[in-house]
Amino acid sequence: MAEEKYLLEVKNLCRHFTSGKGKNKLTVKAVDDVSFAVRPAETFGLVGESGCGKTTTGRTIIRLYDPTDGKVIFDGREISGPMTKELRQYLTDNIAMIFQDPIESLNPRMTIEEIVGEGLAVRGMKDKEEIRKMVHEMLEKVGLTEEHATRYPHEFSGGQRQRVGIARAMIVKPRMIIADEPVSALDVSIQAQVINLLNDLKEEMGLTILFIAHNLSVVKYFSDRIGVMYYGRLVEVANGDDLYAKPLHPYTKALLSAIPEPNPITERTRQRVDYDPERDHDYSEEQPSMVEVEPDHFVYCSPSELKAYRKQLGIEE
Amino acid sequence: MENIKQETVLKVEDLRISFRAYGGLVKAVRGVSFDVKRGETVAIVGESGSGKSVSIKAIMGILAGNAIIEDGRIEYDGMDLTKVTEEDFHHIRGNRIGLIFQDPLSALNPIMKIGKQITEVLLINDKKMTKEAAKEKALDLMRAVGIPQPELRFDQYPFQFSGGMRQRIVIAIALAGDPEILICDEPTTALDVTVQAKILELINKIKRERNLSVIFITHDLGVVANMADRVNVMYAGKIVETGTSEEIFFKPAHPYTWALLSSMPDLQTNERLLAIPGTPPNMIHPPKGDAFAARNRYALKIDYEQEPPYFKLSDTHYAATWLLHPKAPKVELPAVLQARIDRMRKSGEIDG
Repeated sequence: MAEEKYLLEVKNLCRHFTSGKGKNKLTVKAVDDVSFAVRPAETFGLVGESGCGKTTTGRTIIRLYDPTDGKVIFDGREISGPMTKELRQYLTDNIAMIFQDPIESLNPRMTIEEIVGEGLAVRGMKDKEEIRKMVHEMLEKVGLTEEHATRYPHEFSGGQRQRVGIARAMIVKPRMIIADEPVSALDVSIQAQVINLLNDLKEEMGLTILFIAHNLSVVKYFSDRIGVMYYGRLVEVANGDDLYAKPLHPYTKALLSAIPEPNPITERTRQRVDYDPERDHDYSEEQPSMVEVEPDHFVYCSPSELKAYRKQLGIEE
Repeated sequence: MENIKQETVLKVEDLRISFRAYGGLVKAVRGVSFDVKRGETVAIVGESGSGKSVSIKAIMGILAGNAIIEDGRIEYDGMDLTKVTEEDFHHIRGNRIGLIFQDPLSALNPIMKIGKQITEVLLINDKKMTKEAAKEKALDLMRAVGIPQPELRFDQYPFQFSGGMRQRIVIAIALAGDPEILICDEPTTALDVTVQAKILELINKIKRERNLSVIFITHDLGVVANMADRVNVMYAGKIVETGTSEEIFFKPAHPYTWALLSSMPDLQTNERLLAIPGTPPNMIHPPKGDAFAARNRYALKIDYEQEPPYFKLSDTHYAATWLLHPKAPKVELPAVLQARIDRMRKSGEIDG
């Protein structure tokens, strides 16, 4: 296990936000002791409800926020240390981000060509003709045309804008993409277009993707492995099929049981499970930690819970 | 659904609504007809811009100033709601027909205490009611929608509530007028799945207890399957298919319904998604013929020339597509969708 090559390793990552001073000081542990690893060319999904810290995790990895504690290692190099010009360059060369809101994330005063080509210019490319050529190629790839290059963001529909956002992220040929809710702002019929596009690009370019979303069906469809977050903590990590077929952590069960499925027969009889950390866990004597219950299936649990989970899976100690 | 009596409480007939806009008239609703029976939930499904919200705004009489109701009737209790004056609408809106909005934060007044926002409705609707009686009733409503510690919460402001609790307050306010029809406009879109599940359960419970008729607007087919007795699928200002939940999910007939059903992954999907190409049409100049034709891989020549009428599939199931014409070539359901339907039926047999 230890020798396995990971592209991205997140180790005990913490990001705390503080507000107020003195006795009014308040600390919000948005991300608390989160560890996971992403293999090359893998899609790792992060799911959870709003406020669970999934977006903060993504943003801390790409250093839009500085980590409070913990380490992030990308391809053997630590990227969570003090920010230097050289590290910033390394990050922009290797990791790109796709944002949720395709309207807010595009500068309304720049043409599509400027938006998509900016990454190349920032990285020292001077030949305008060369940039234009690459932009046109990239637009083609994401399903837009050359004519779109001279237009402004407001002239596009939501789905097209998200394509621009994807083109902007891809043009620097990053090795990893952090996609933060890339489809949740789009209409149903457009979501499928964007998901298919991301899937094609992923295969074509051998991309590694950290896919952050709250829609479990989309995450399941898109990801190889999934991490479930709850209140700043990662509570379960498994491959998609395992997570769905044999969820172990009570929160994962609650989350799965709440997803409405487009099936009137099962919907009418669906039993929802509630999750109440006070009731479902007894951590008064034992401390919980992240444990590998079966190969590649991690759960945040205490030793006695681990025993119960193993029994449930039919694994002998 | 044996408890549904056949009494129709609301009937929308051939509703046509346009908006005066910079570029011309936007034809948002182009001949919509549906009805709602007592105690049933009718869902209206469609993408943004399909006209679903505009249709229900017309029912509530809260259309924007630049809207023109060009044609059609909304029959309710012997009245035509398209012709009711604003003065008379005060007695219908809230009292007879309640509305729950998508975003509970913008639906509530941020600088008014929660309790006052609920009692306000009660006091306006019943001029003889005392403040004390209104408070009692408001606390009852808060209990009914599942707000813990209502006495304490009564004196709090909206920002002190979570999204799910705010939506419960909005529901309490909607129920304060004791309406017989409850319109829910994407009530759970802004909420997390676990909270969404609780709110949907609450709406179902209230509906059963009060024998309410519910009009449920959403774009989420999972939510539709959970809530609806009957489903209307809207596209470009028209209802393209209408039927019971089972008919829409298991025997869909319109290519747009097919596309909607197969464009989103469910938890078992592994195959490539069938995305709908293109984007919805510009409604200033709606296309001639079937509005969906340009995005429809099964489009026939006639789709570009003439609008399809409704073809009857059963007493409750109608679809507007030329594919159902006896002379049309036979088209099979997309294989991906057929596989999914088979899977759904099977899982239903096992679980049910």
